[in-house]
Amino acid sequence: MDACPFGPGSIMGETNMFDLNECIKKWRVGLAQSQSLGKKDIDELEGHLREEIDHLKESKLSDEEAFLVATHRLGDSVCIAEEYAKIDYGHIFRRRFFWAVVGVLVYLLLTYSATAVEKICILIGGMGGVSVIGLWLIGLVSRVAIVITVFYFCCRIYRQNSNNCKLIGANRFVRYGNLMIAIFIILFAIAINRIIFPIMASRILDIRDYGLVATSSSFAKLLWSIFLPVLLVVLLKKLHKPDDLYEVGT
Amino acid sequence: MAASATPLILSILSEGENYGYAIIKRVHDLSGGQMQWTDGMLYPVLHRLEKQKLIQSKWRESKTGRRRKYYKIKKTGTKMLREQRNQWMLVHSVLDRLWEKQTCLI
Repeated sequence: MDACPFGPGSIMGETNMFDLNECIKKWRVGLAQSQSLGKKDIDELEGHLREEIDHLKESKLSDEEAFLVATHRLGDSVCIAEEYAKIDYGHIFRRRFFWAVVGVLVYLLLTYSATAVEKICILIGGMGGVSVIGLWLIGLVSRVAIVITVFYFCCRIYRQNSNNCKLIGANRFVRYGNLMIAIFIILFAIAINRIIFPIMASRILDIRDYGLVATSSSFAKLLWSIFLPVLLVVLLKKLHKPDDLYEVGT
Repeated sequence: MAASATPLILSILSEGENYGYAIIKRVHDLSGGQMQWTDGMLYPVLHRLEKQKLIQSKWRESKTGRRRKYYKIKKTGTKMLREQRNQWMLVHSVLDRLWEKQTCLI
């Protein structure tokens, strides 16, 4: 049951370098798994644990013994988590809802922006006198390029394992600022897609050619609709995992 | 956790601001070691009392540099404590009379 690999009493009597911080970190992981405790709650309990350990060490207990006694006195992690869950903290649900909204916003942002970029490329090609087939290719290539770029940045974020809060904004003002920027970009992209592009494209292409160019867009959009949600779900699941709960305090 | 947890915690906090670990130690000392709570169970109670707006909390750095969450009783908490105290005294006096009667009969 002990989450700590540095268990009591090694077989041959060799000293098993007991790492207190490592054990406390594993203990935190155990608490965090229930998801009914926030980081501050776990910090508070860790503070209590450390004070108890210090108190026990005064009675000449070793690090290991103090840790075992203190965690035993604190109680079973599962029971503690159950008690916290009973308090019916709204913040757990609010947190999940918040991340769901972030996911939807990011999806919209990327989708509309991608379509806008594709359409701008087609317009530029059209104004440069590229043939219809060429425009069809431009549409497809720009989409693929966007997919690769998005994928690349997502891999970087995934590998960096950065604090999820840093991505959306460290404090409330930055977050609202980012939200405003995101909404602005979405609206701007919609304007390009629905207003600017149709008007300008009708001047460059006739209706049949427009239809032909649009097919590449439809095909790309189908792949995009499958690829992007999967990517975002995987990424957000990873970011949502409370890695920052595992940080050990003083 | 016992029903006595709420009035106990509120009473301790009415003596002044305090933090979790110290509250548990106070209960332990006051009861002469007879009352041993599972330490971890105190904190959900504290959080529930905070949610009911009977107490408020604030993170502060202690002299040793360790960050602690300090709890302070609010006016609503003091009022609730007074009500619970009156209830307890009432129950206590009724039981006292009953048990006095019973010891006489014995």
